[in-house]
Amino acid sequence: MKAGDRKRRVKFSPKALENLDELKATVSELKQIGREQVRLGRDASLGYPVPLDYELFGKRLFRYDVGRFGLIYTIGKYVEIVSVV
Amino acid sequence: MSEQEAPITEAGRKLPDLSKAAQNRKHRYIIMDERGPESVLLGYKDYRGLVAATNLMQSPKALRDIEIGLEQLRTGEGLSWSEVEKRLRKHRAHPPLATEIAKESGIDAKIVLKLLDVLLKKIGPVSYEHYRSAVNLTKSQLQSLPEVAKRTSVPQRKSRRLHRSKSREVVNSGS
Repeated sequence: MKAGDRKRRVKFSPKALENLDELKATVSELKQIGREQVRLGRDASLGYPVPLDYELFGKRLFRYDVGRFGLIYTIGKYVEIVSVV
Repeated sequence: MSEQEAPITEAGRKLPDLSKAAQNRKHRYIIMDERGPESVLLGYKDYRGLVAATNLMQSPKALRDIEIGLEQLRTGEGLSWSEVEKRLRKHRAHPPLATEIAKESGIDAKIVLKLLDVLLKKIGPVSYEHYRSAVNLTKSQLQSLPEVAKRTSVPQRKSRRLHRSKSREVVNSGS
């Protein structure tokens, strides 16, 4: 773990779960996401900022690519996976 | 984030420094030649973010999903990874259509799931649309199961066994 990194827990929205199902994530892909979400929880700056601000929710969006999936997330108390594209 | 112009010769000379500043400090450099602006130097993450935003904006569904996801997280519906895995496993084991057909027909959900898997892979979305109703699908499978199995290369003995067990189930449920 890098110095200054703070381990944040990762939460998934039910919509992200639905997206994973729609995109027919395989078991090995799910395992990969499982591993990567631990890394993301340790260092939320691994992804890149997506310049779309959701003012209504006061959130900035980031994206982290895992294989063919893009995890769209926000950072707060948790790293929150909003949806998967 | 700052944006500044850089003459092409100077940019060429200072490229390693400009590249670092673009990545680490999110600076953007507009590279100028004698005719005017020619290209832009920006950090890789910055570039990926712009591409991602463009793609998202072209997909109304993705934008709607983001709004729904944000709302769900705001209302405390966030799930931990172990919960996500558990739900996906459960959903995989008996997807809604298979559960519905199994319930309607009384056939074992595992057999329905296997049949659906074979059918959906082989008959394609057009035929699937035709059999959207779970009841129609079970009826049509009963009549044409051996044919479908023949076409879709399910071993014949297995298909006969499935057909027999399905017919028995229907007879039993009818009596």
